[in-house]
Amino acid sequence: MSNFQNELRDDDGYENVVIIAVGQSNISNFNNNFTANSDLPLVMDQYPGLPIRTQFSPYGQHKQVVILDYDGNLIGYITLNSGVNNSAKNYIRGILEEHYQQSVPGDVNEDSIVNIQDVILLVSSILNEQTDDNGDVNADGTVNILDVIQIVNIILS
Amino acid sequence: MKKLLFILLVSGFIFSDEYEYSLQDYNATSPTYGLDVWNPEYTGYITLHYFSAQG
Repeated sequence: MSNFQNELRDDDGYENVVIIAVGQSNISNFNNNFTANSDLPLVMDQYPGLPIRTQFSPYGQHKQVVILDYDGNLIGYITLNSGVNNSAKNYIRGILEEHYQQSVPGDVNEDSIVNIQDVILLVSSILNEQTDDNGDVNADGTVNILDVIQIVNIILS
Repeated sequence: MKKLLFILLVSGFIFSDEYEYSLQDYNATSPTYGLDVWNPEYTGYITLHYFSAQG
């Protein structure tokens, strides 16, 4: 599954997609097998209540992958009885293709258009000392006047 | 009209299927080890939750 995460990110370009392994706290050697040699985030569903599985019910069965959109809404699920084979990968890729939103540089308000509204929002967030990841247009780790200039350049071009 | 609006609001609440949790990442080789996922570390992501009862 970790390899598939890398494929999605490196080969398919899905940057904002993550696979989270959901284990159970009553299984002590869980991490040794499930996420061994992998960089997948791993959370433990607390036994005996198993609140994550309760929340996801009727989904969340053993070997099941539950796919949620940006707002936490269910957009698909698949049970990997035969591992992460091509059929499973194609199913997941189909879901992602349908729901993935490519970020647009400079689209601060995420309306898929870069215009004066993004400039206003960005200037406002800078003046109010608020951090907005969408505002870091030049990807230098800070949001400042240089990002405003970059957005203006995007609009003018 | 008010009745209809009320029904729409209530049904929207009942049938809403938004999931959410915030739990510590236990995988020492994960980039978010020790941090809380999926919120806040993967907010704004499409998330695939891979369940297993495997030991």
